Amino acid sequence: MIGGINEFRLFVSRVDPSSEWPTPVDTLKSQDSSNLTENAPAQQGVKEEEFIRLLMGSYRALYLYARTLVPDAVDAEECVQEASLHLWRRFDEFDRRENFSRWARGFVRKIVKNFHRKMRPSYLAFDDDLIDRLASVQGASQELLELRRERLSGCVERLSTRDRKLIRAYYEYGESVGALSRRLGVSEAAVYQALRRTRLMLFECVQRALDKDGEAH
Amino acid sequence: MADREIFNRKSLLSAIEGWYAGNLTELDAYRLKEQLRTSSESRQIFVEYGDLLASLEMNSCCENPEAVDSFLSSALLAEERANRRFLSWGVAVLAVLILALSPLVWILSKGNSSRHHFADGSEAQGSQGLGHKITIPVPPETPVRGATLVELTEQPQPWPDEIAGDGESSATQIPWAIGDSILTGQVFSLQGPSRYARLRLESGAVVILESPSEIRLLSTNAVELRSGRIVGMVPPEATGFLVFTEYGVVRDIGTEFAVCVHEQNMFVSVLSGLVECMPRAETTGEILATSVPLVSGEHLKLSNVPSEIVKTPRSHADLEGVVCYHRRIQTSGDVRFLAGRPPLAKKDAAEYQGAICLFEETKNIPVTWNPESQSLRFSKENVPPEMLSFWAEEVAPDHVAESLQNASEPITLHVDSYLVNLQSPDKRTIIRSGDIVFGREVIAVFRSEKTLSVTDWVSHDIEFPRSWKVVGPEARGSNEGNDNVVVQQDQISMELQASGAGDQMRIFVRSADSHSQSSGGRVKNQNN
Repeated sequence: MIGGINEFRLFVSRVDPSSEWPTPVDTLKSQDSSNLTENAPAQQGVKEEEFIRLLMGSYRALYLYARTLVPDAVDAEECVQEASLHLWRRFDEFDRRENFSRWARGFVRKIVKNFHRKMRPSYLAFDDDLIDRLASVQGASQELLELRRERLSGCVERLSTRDRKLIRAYYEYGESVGALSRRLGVSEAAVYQALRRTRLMLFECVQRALDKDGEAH
Repeated sequence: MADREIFNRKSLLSAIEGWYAGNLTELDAYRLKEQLRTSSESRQIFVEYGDLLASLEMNSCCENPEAVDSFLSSALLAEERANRRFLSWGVAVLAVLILALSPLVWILSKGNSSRHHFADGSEAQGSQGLGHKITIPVPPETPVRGATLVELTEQPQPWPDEIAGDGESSATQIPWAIGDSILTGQVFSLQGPSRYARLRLESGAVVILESPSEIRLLSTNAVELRSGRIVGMVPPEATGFLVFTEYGVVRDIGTEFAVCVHEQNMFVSVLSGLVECMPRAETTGEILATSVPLVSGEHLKLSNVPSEIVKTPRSHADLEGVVCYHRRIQTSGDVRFLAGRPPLAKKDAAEYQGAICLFEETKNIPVTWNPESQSLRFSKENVPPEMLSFWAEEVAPDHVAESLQNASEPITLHVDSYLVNLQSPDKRTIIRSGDIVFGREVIAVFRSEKTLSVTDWVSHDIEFPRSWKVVGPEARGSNEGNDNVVVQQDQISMELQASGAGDQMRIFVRSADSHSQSSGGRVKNQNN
């Protein structure tokens, strides 16, 4: 079981920026080995392996789920990380006949609610009821969202060269707004504005593409 | 009306983008949340936009889910954490500096009033982010038509047709008749028991008064409530509608709200949308620059002794009548209607013991009839969480069978949801009874998995989710024979008991917005 030692390790690594951020896999791999040795290590190993396999299979979906409900990417990642810990602690309760991703989303939703309670500025925070409503839309729209993701790459290709380069530099190559403003010779505000405009264009482009698909059928 | 959208699609997307960027203003944040609460389409757009952002961020990893967990993302997160820590140290140092300098600043600023006072006709600005300038309108010297009396009745009647009929008889007893104009500067007084009047202002805003009440028309989009209770319904073109009282000011930002002046207090309840409230000074009547935004389901009390705004967990009881009238709901017996979201706060539950509280809950849940599968479904994204997996096979009743069977495409109608709450905090069994008459058709009533009272709209084979938390009579001991719920078209008669635990019943009623599509509250053609 994940116990005090491992949680302490997680805490230390979070406050020490020089250390690597523990991924769910890292955290789980750092099991208290003495505990494992004494208590049926083979069984524990199988359970670990199963959990890691299930978690990694669902991780992307869980991140997308959290990210939709949390305004900041880093915070969304933290929510999923925290949920992963809870998932592991409660893994014995997981009914293997159920869908792991659906089970895990319940944990993520709870963590996201906690996050919103502490969110600053508080007027941006959503209450539990609104989070539930948004989450249920998210849960019920998986197929549609997958279709939208498929159309997104086509829409990126249809952007003007300048906009496409900007989006790729920012999202794919992780160039900061400061670096982009220096490289492009414009103000940071102009970069933010251009990114905002391009995201909105992409959103409408995806919608148009789906509408066209609908008409074609 | 309740589902009115504050943002259009373009401004909604802009607000959502602002929310994700963290730079949305406080006012727009309230507006966005209100729209997300009331509009399923807006929630869908929000989720789709969020997913687009996430997809862009994950673009380089989308082909390979495992890459989410890459060393790079770990390093970036650690870097972000380090930056945040540095930032928080910076903020801490700044805070210490501010604390050290604040006495000096206070001394320098002493002598200036901490409040922004202004007289009639001048302006004040709110200090909590909403910050709209409020001007007390002065009626023009030459009066103009400010409003028209459009309905008048002596009894709270749920059916619009009956209201018009009663209006004529009421009009003979007071010096106003339907169609009369009320000029700016003029006082409209409604006296006597159980009278209701509906005024349409030239701006488009509608004001319902419950007697005894008195208002003075200040302009074509502002009234002074001198006494009594009103409900304001404000279409988008009349946004900015103002209600002044002796104790404070309510500024509408696209909404329905109720205001009551009672024993040196002013009570405000927002039924839907958003308003901004400001108190007035006790001695001078000046508007104080302290504004509080109030959203759907919230209530507050403004008092001028001392001048303050207190958010309250519930509406003042005196608002019940006018809100019931506005919502076309008539209650009797122990049933009381309260606008707001359940559950009640614990301290409040005690105040309501002995009463059955009817809460207005989710508005406009789409229900779709699918002729092919012969099934009736609530749309998942808009149903209260515990009802997510509800579905029902429809046995078409006579009065809808024809229109349903002739339909070739899915038909959607909208229903409103109400929650009846019965509480017995002191663990003794209480039995309460009452009637609720809706001005609309009752679609279904749900009590628990084993106790289901329905109209002929919904029949059997209800699949209840595990999260269904209603405590039904089967779990409450031996006196269950006292539980009785009878549904007749637009009316529910009930006798319920509770001991210790709360008891709930959910009622789905044909939405007021779709009333025009029906004839006399019955389904005529849902495909319009």
